[in-house]
Formats: sequence, C-alpha cells, structure tokens
Amino acid sequence: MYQQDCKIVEKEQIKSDVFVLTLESKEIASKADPGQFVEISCGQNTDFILRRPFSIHHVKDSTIKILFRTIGRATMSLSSYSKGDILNIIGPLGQGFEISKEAIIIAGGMGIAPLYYLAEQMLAKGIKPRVLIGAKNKKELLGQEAISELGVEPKIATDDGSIGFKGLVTDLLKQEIYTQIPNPSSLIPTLYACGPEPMLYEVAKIANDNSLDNQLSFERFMACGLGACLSCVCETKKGLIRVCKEGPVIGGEELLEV
Amino acid sequence: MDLSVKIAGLKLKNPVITASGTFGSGREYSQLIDLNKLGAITVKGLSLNPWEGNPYPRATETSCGMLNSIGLQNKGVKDFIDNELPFLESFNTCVIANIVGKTVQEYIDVAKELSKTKKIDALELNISCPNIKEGGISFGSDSDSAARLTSAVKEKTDLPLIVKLTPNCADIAALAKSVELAGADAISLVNTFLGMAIDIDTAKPKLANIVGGLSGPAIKPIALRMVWQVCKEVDIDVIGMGGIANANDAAEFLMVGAKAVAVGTANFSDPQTTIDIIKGLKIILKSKEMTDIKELIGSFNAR
Ligand SMILES: Cc1cc2nc3c(=O)[nH]c(=O)nc-3n(C[C@H](O)[C@H](O)[C@H](O)COP(=O)(O)OP(=O)(O)OC[C@H]3O[C@@H](n4cnc5c(N)ncnc54)[C@H](O)[C@@H]3O)c2cc1C
Ligand SMILES: Cc1cc2nc3c(=O)[nH]c(=O)nc-3n(C[C@H](O)[C@H](O)[C@H](O)COP(=O)(O)O)c2cc1C
Ligand code: FES
Repeated sequence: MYQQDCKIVEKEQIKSDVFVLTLESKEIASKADPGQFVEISCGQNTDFILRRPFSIHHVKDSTIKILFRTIGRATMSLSSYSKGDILNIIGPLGQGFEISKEAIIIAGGMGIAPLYYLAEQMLAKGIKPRVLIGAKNKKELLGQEAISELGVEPKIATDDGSIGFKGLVTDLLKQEIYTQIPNPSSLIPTLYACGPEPMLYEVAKIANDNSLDNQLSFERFMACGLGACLSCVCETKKGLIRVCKEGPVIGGEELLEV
Repeated sequence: MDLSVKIAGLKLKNPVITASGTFGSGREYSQLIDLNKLGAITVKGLSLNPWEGNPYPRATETSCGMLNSIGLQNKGVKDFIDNELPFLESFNTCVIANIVGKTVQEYIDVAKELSKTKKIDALELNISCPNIKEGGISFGSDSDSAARLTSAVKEKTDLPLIVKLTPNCADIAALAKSVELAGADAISLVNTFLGMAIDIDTAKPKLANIVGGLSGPAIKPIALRMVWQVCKEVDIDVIGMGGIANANDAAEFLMVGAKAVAVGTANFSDPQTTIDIIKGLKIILKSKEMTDIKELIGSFNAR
C-alpha cells in the first residue's frame, strides 16, 4: 500500500459523463491486482473531505487507469482535472479476484471498471473468459469495444433491447449457463461480477442454484478505505466484514439471504 | 525545539494524538505513516464482550464533515489485548485505550483487564458516544451520572484516567468540573455532535440509525469554544479535538489551553495529517520565536 502524488499522464472522455484517467505510479502499478481499488483525493475543495474509492481499471508499465462516471461533487471535481495535474492516491487496496481456468464475467454498468482489467489478466494467462455486459440502453453501454479489442466478443444485454439481448444481464447469464455447452475441456466456470447490488445478489443466487463458484465485487460507502473506521461493513456468514479490507471481492457463498 | 508535553503525568513526545475510532488500532495506518512519530495513539472504543455496532449505512459525508453511527463495533477487550496490543507495543508511542460499557460494572471490568496488562499508558473513558442507547452518552450528558462513573472506574485502576466529554449537553463547563471533582486525571473533548441527514429522493435517512455524530472541520469552531470554556473551568489537563485538520487548527486548541490535541476525521482525508501537524507546529513555534510548545499552550490573549 502506497500514498503518492501521481501525475495524470492522459485524460480521455469516453461519454458525456464518463472519463478515463491514466495516472503515473510505478509502485501502485507494480502491486495492483484485478479487483483492487485506489482512494483518490478528488479536489482541494474542503466542502467534501473524504477520498473516493475507484477500481483499478487497467495497468500498463508504470501507470494505472481509472474509469469513472460523474455522479456527484467529488467525481465532478475529478473530471475537471487535466493532463499534467497531480492527484494524491492511496493504493492498491482491498482483496482482488482470484483467477480460475474457466470464467464467465458479468458486468453491470460501471462494473466493467475492474472486470476489464480482470479479463485482460486472464487472457495474458491464456484463459479466455466469456464476457456479459449489461446496461440500461445502447447509449449507456460501456466496455463493448474495449473488450472486443482484447479478442473476446462480449454478449450484451440492455433493459430496452436497444442493443443485444432485451432484459437483465442476469437473465442473459441464465441463458448462457443453461444453453451453452461447456468448453470441450468441460471445466466448470467461476462467475465474476461487479455492478449494482441487486445484480450481485442475483448472480450469487444463480451460482448457488447451479453450484458454481462466484466472486462478486461490492461497493460500500467508505470513509477511510483502510479498515480503520468500520463504515463499509457487510454482513456475511463469517460475521461483519470490512468491504475495503476483506473485500471488495466477496465469495457469493459468504452472503446471507442468497 | 521541545514539543513534549505531559498529560496527567504521562509524557508525550509531542502533543499530537490520534482520536479514538478514526485510527483503528494503528495497524491500519502503519504502512503509510511512522507510528513512532506520534505523541500517542488512542485505539477504538473497547467493550468487555464483542459489540456488533449499528446497521449499514453507518456513515455519510456532509458539508465540511461527516456523520457516523458506527455504534462502537469492536471485538472486545480480550481480542484487543491478544491480537492488537502486541503490535502496538513494538512502537515507541504511548497507547491510550478508549473504553465503553453498558453498565458501570462493564466499564470497571474493561478498565481492570487493560490495567492488568501493564502495557497501556492511559485510559480514556468514553461517556460520550451518541450512537448507542445504553451506556455511552446516557452516562455522559448529566453531571451526576458522569461523576459517579468516573469515581467508580478511578477506584479500580492505577492508570491515568482521561474522561471524554460529549458536546451534546447543556453546560460543558459544569460537566467538566463534576468529572474533575470525581477524580478524573484529564479531560478530552469533544466527541461528535448529534446530527442527521436525509436523502430527499427517497425521503429516507442517510444513516440506518437515522441520527449520528457529526465530525470534521464543520464542528471546529464549536469544539474550540467548548475546549476554551473547559480549560478556564478546570485545573486538570485537557486534550482538545474536533475538526482539527492542520497545524493552525491544532495551534488554536493549544493556545486556548489544551495540553494536547487529537486528530480524527482528518486521518481519513489524509493519513499524513498527524505527521504534517507535528512538522507544522515546529514552524509555528519558530515563527513566534518560541522553542518550547509549552510557551504556545495557553498563550491565547482574550483581553
Ligand atoms: C470499492 C469501490 C470501487 C469503486 N469503483 C468505481 C469505479 O471504478 N468507477 C466509478 O465511477 N465509481 C466507482 N465507485 C463509486 C465511487 O466511489 C462513487 O461514485 C463516488 O464516491 C461518488 O462521489 P461523488 O462525490 O461524485 O458523489 P456523491 O454525491 O458523494 O454521492 C453519489 C453516490 O455515491 C456514493 N458515495 C459517495 N461517497 C462515497 C464513498 N466515499 N464511498 C463509496 N460510495 C460513495 C453515495 O452513496 C451516493 O450513492 C467505487 C466504489 C467503491 C466502494
Ligand atoms: C468513524 C468514527 C468513529 C469514532 N469512534 C469513536 C470511539 O470509538 N470512541 C470515541 O471516544 N470517539 C469516537 N469517535 C469520535 C472521535 O474520536 C472524535 O472525538 C470526533 O470525531 C471529533 O474529532 P474530529 O472532528 O477530528 O473527527 C469516532 C469518530 C468517527 C468519525
Ligand atoms: S472504509 Fe473505513 S473500514 Fe472500510
């Protein structure tokens, strides 16, 4: 874990409200696993005092990328930074994903942020994951091109059917599990998911019904991100866990009420 | 330059302490700052048996501050002694244990367990947590019950006893005076101010507990006023806190008479805050041509 002033070496705007920042940090880049996150000080404005957590979206050489949507005051402030500016960053934080030999990746909305890095790391290890991406509609869809460029054609689900399957990405997942013949190797897939909480619970349920391993990345309000304040807790079969420390990736079998 | 201070006879290498509940048990920050540099570490509130705390969501950000209703989740004093204290012992820093209970007897039991270890430098009696129904604030908001609890615990421990006051009371100076008379060796203040926030879209509270404690820069002027009032009222040492985020803030509390300061929420904004304050206090002393922090303490000139 490091705390550093990091230079923004690139800033891209990929939608009206979605940005990618590339940040220079040899140390964080060298330690970052898929599923881990960073805590960023998003501005000098003392009106908001807490850092904000963002998933590590990509790592290359001595840089990391974050992908974020502007939804409130800190993310708005973050989007006003430019190439060459400095941000204070703590990371890498939390427990990431464990890579298995056969995988189905399920991304809902911004959930693509950590899962893109996971897919890339799997491919680097010679594992070809199946990727399902869900969005409200075509306009809000994120990650389709980026995943294709990695060499995996993602399947898409939108609520309104404006592109791909019409319905929830978890319904697409059921189809994928029930109709697809598993790989010739007949390895049983592990499910990897990040997205809105109801989606994660549905994935856990599907996994449970089909006896599949599953790793889910959770979001919780975080004041410290370091395990000190106990604001980010989630109830599990093991008791209360700190999502910033024991998570954000949690095995679905640990969840209550699945 | 001498930054050392004494709190209830306990020597701290500098007046900068971490506030209870915002610094875990130190371990969480040890990869980012050198704990040896701190005046003291105050650990998260400890109860006799494990406490679950309040339901999630337990914290939310507000303008220049935050609300929390953690509810003193902790694994109990035994777990702390077995698993965290050995780690803290490896640092050359004073350790203050913050203690909580639902009954007078529970406070006494926790105090006894910690006193037995001989590895704790002081106890901080938390009679000021606004987040639990029993214990905590119910002992702290009126002078009589605060005094009774203070003397009951004081009788059973040889450790310096710091009593942490709630600002959610009618007369902070009177409350301070009563715990001084009951035998407290020092007073710390403030704990958080009871507050609330709602989500106007859902019409629901932002905290599952509905109300929670406000901390951070938003409370600093009120906290400073209260620390000033208490410093005038009592002869025992006072530890000031509430919204301290930089060396100037810390200097204000010291100037009104606090012998030391504690940093809470600012650790979340920047884990380096305590270290920066220690450096910054030296610069402030230099600019005032002082060589000893004790010259700064109480130098407020109200006229
Ligand atoms: C482990 C983790 C990884 C994340 N990764 C990404 C990512 O890769 N890309 C992305 O766009 N977003 C990500 N988020 C969410 C991101 O942190 C929030 O969008 C951001 O904090 C909102 O700040 P704001 O001031 O703009 O919005 P606000 O106006 O403060 O709040 C808008 C919403 O964000 C939530 N929120 C606010 N503060 C926090 C906080 N400190 N921690 C968690 N949630 C908060 C609020 O509950 C609210 O629902 C992640 C969150 C977590 C916990
Ligand atoms: C998340 C959180 C947890 C806290 N837990 C405790 C606690 O366990 N015991 C205690 O005496 N005070 C607790 N406090 C209060 C702080 O120690 C401090 O008195 C208060 O936050 C004011 O200081 P600040 O504005 O610098 O944070 C907590 C505060 C926060 C924000
Ligand atoms: S955010 Fe503080 S413990 Fe997780």
